[in-house]
Amino acid sequence: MSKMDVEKIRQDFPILQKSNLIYFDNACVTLKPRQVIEALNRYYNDFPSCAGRSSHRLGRMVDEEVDKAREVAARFFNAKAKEMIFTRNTTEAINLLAHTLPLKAGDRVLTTDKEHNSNLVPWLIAASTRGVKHETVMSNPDGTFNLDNFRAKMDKSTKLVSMVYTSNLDGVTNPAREIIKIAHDHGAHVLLDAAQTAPHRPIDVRALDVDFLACSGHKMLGPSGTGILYGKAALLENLPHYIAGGGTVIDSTYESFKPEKVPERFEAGLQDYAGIIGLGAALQYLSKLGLQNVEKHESDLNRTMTEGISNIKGLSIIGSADSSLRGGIVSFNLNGIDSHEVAMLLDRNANIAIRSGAHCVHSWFNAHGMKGSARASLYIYNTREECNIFLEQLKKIAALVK
Amino acid sequence: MVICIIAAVALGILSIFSAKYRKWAKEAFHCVFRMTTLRKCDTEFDRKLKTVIVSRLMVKHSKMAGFVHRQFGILSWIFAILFIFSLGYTGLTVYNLAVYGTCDPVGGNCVLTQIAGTGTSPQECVQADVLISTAYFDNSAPVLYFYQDGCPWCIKEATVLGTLAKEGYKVKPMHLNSKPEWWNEYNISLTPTFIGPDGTRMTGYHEADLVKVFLDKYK
Repeated sequence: MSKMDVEKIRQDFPILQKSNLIYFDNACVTLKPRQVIEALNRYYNDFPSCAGRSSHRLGRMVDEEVDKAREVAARFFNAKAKEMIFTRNTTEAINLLAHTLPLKAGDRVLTTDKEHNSNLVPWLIAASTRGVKHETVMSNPDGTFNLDNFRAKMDKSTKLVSMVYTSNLDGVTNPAREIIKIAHDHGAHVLLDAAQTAPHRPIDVRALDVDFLACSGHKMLGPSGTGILYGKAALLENLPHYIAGGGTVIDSTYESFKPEKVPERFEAGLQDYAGIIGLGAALQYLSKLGLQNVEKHESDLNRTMTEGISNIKGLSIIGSADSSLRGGIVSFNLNGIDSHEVAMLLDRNANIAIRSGAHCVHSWFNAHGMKGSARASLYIYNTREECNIFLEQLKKIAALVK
Repeated sequence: MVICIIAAVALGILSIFSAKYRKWAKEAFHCVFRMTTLRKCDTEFDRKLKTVIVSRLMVKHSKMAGFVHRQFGILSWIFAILFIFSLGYTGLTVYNLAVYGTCDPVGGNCVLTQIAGTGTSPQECVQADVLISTAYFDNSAPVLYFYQDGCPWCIKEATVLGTLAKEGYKVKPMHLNSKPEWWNEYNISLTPTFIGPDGTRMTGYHEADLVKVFLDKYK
């Protein structure tokens, strides 16, 4: 097993201490450790004030805490602090770029066939309103990335490759380094949707040489309504406002305004300071555990899950049969039972929380003539015992259709 | 999907008393509406109901849970038909209670009137029979009067007949408990029933003036 002391970790999560909950919906939202909850409370209890505007002591305290959170986030991704923009979530981060990148009619944007609606719909809108050409790179049958298909799609008109880093559908992580290299060779920028990667494996944006990267705080122990957009400083500085207003300009007259420098230019209005500070605490928590350990722990559990599932008749896993390719995600369907029914039965019978449906990847399910799937997604506080209980319950549910 | 019909009625009633059922009731009614307009229920409400039922059974009886899961569609239809039938029967009962004062005007076996204390005790019936047989009956009377034991409206009618007897009105006693074959022979569906010599009928309880008009025709 991994080096992490899971029992000790579990003690940090209040909800796990007061119930027998088995939480396998981590790809949607993770549980929150008390360190994050305390950070949120600290803001509201000790310095519930403005950052970047007020000169009083409380204001300065918020400034310091937000700066600290930004520094933590920068270290987490090996970036500079000014390259970290706090957003509400991955969706907002991607929309920010979809609205501000200088894409014009005829420019091509490539995505994969397994994009979350957050990294599909903004480009479909850009295609319909600005004449941007949107194209899809099809994956291999087992869900892994097809580099040949990707190379074949690349040409000079391709200005942006906006791809999911780790799929929330099947857990497959795309070969970002190769994708970025090929894209850069063709003069295209790369945006990685790392909502399912950042919480589970180390990301070094410098080593990847990625241009933009987006992730959500709520999927990595952080508070809801928090996210991060990383962008290379040189690229961010050339982008115009997305949402303009308080905090995004240095000065204004009745006729003009002078934009703030990055990242403040993109953080309009009063921010969710408590959330940002909480996100900083979450990233610290994860850094302390070590993302390599997190990755290994999930991989070990997924092996247990996959081996167990392969013994259940009528159950099929979406994506690769090799659990090591699917991170901490097990997406599956049970013959004769709808995925929502599976999720409800697990919840009612054993207090197991999983996700069911199309997981916001409707396009993939529609293309494959499927309604959806049940999805168990693992994280740091999950145990092998929980996996075994889950498998036992799945066997009982499978027996319903015998 | 048909299970939504039952849910809509049950949850509709529950939602009168508790707000927590209103959302479910709304969903159930939405499903019923979709069903009546030949469209599929799009809220998954029927599936939720199925899962709730199956999950409870899984804990106690896994084989039964499997059976219910597999045959849920058929079972839903059976329950829905039974439900509609029992709903209709309940409506008829309420109608009888309102019109005849008993939910079983034919057989006289109305649990509701017995529970409520408005029914007729055996002693009262005996008493009523004595009253009826001694005061108002004449075997040569042209109008047949069908009555039975345990029928509160027959007792009530007896009071009316008692009043009319003082004016000389009589009826021929046709005690159905003594001769049950009369139910079919005379095609009686409820009591009391008056039948004139020309076959004209007057069924159910009637006040003195109406009974008098009926008997006057055959004086």
